[in-house]
Amino acid sequence: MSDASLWLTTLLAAIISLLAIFYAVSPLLKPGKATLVLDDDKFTELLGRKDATLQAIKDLEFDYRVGKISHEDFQRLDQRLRRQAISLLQQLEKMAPATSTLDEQLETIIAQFRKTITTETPVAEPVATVRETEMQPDISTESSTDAQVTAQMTRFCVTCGKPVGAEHKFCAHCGTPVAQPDPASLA
Amino acid sequence: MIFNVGYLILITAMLLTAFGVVVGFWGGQTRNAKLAASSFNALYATAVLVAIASIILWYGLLTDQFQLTYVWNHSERALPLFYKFAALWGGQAGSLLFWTLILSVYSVIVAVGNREQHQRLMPYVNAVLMGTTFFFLTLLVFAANPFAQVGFLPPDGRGLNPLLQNYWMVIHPVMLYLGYVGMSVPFAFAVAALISKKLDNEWVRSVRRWTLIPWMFLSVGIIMGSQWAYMELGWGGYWAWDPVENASFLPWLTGTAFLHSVIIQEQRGILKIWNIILIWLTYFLVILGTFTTRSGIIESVHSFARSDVGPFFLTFMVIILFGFLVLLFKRLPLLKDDQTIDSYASREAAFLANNWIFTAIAFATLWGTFFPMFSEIFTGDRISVAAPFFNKVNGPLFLILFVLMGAGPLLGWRHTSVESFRKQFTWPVAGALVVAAGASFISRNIYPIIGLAACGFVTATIVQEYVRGILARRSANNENAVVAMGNLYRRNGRRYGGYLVHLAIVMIGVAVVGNEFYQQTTHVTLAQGESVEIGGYELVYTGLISREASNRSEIVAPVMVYDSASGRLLTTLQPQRNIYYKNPDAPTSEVGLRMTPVEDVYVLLNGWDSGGEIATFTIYINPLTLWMWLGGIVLVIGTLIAVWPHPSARRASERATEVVYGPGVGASV
Repeated sequence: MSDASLWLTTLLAAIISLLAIFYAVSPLLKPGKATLVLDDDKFTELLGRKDATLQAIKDLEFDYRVGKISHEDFQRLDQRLRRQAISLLQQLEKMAPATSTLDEQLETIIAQFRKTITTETPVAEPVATVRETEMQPDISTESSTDAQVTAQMTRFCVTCGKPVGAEHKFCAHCGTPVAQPDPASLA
Repeated sequence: MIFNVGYLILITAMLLTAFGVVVGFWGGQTRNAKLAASSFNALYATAVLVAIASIILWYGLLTDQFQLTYVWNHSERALPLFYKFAALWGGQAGSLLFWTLILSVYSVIVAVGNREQHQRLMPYVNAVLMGTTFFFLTLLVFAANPFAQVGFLPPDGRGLNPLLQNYWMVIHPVMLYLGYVGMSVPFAFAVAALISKKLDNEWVRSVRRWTLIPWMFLSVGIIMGSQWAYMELGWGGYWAWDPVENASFLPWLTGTAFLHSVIIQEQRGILKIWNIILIWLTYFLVILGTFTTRSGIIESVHSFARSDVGPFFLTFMVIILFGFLVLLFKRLPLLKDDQTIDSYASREAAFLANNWIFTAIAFATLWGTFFPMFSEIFTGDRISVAAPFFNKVNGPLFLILFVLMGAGPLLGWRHTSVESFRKQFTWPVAGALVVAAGASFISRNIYPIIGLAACGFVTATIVQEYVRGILARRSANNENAVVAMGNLYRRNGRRYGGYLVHLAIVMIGVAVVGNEFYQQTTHVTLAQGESVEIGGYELVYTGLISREASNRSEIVAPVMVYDSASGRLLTTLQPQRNIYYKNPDAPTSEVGLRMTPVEDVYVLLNGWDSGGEIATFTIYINPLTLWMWLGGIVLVIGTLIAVWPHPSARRASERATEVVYGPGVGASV
């Protein structure tokens, strides 16, 4: 190899290499303190487990319909899965408002509710959807019949517009979590 | 000059991956976003560098740069362009570079696709993927440099191995590598989950698609390899249990077991340790497979000593083995199962049994593959175990597997009552009996009857599942049969796509039984115009034709095939031999083949005398072989249906990102 070609080789390889190295190192050179990687995993995990549980309920129903499991087994397992799903949804609900955008969304929803109460219009306009499920599990039957009803009022689901029972945490029709009305504001 | 640049780039890439491994692990430990971002950038930069290096080698191959040892050894001027392109994976150094290229492309797709969703896991995933890339780059830099030069300029290359000059041989390794390399992704997630102690179901869910796709490529690769063996090696069969075939089959077995057992973990929260072990085993077998095919250890332990890459592989495998075991041991307390198996008459029990069988087949195959090596080490004599060993051990295991494949879907999760049992099994068992009765008319041999009955059982199960699924949808949603079937796929593609894959396996099983038990063969010498009768066909030799192609001469011996009962001419087959100018001592054989769904007429030209006055042929009648290739197509369709995102899942994932971070927040992290 001639000298010129040796130089050219080295130069070309050096340029490509330096570019690549610089690109890889560049995030470390950025000024400012490094932020911590978000610990969103609990939420993702819960969301995933919720999806899996809802899918399992659906599968179970399907298995029952095609005669793969007996009626007793179906009822027993269905109850178990539904309880699991509710507990997951409750946990999710507890976590979800922690994020700023959700707070805003909830504010809008609450504002919407107040408007509904004051004007007594039976139909609430759908606002931003917090979360909807394809599954439409009818989990209302699982809720306790505690008489701790906050107020004598009709609430409506923000997604589908159907009335929601006062003690319900989720819409019985479409499964959307229902924001709990603030007792203070109603008093 | 440009080739030196290629080599230097590989060195940079190697250093960069080492850097990436460090910042990945470190960033994962400290949860430092800058370090994590740096690991992503290192991964992208490496991919670009490896791509440049590959392009340089391709350039060398396509423009006949014979001063490169690799090009000199694996190409020639007269080689058709298509094969020049494919010569990148025709030899050791090139195929290792190709491995690295595929791994980096996969890594980029994984990194881009999961960056926002799995922020805690991803730095570790990056680190593990780059760790594997680092290993292959070390091989390329220190032991198998694809840019090594001869030192002078040879006028022409030595030519590509004639056996590799076949259409299937060009795609087969690509598919196999896509499958092999892709298995690193689920492994990377498993290790990430272990290190970060996030051993919930997140990693399992995120790798489902990433296991199915490589699994599909691996399956297609294996089937294409069989097709190549069938068409090119010319011994009438498609699978010989030779070490190279086994190398691809082993990770397929454990990978398939993993695919099934992760479903139980998702559904029931059990088998957590087992799943981690299975995916590690799959990854280990991938590396072992690459090692066995690349180091020559199976041919002889002595060739291993001469091999440059062998010691590197051995070191890497020891690291994977012990590193993983230590990590697993440390995390054992976190891997407690959420529940237990309630009943043996449940789907999870069937899945568990399926896992045992898969593992048993894998171990039997592994043992048979490495037995010659151990015998040589310990006794000095090389004792090979041949196809009969594998067939005897694996045949019955596969039979059990088929029965489970039929029974599993019929059982419900957790528990199946006697009544449901009866309701579910009546038709499939009837199907099996009908097939058995039909098969017993053809031959009295009990084994193929059992085998075909098992195939009938599984097929009846699948048909019943579809029919009942469609009926259930029809009654619940008032859909017609076609819409109902479409919705089964759309809403539960995982299950119904999976059944299609089962059907594909049955088709392959049918072909195997047909070939194994009903094959007919004869070896004849025919003079011009003479004929031979076999299996209801009459074959007439018509004389020899010689043709010239760019890098070889082709000797063709047309044989006319008649139906012996009616005397009708069915076809004229063209068995031929190719004599490559660069490798005249290794003539290859092209089979004359007539394929029908019932059987193949497979004619091989062995030799000729007196300028073609007489020629010798080996003729096989291979029943049902076509179903193996059709099974391959169905397998791909079924897998694609299974990986297709569920309509709600698609929306959910878009939503999840938005809910957590707010629109556009994730992008800036």
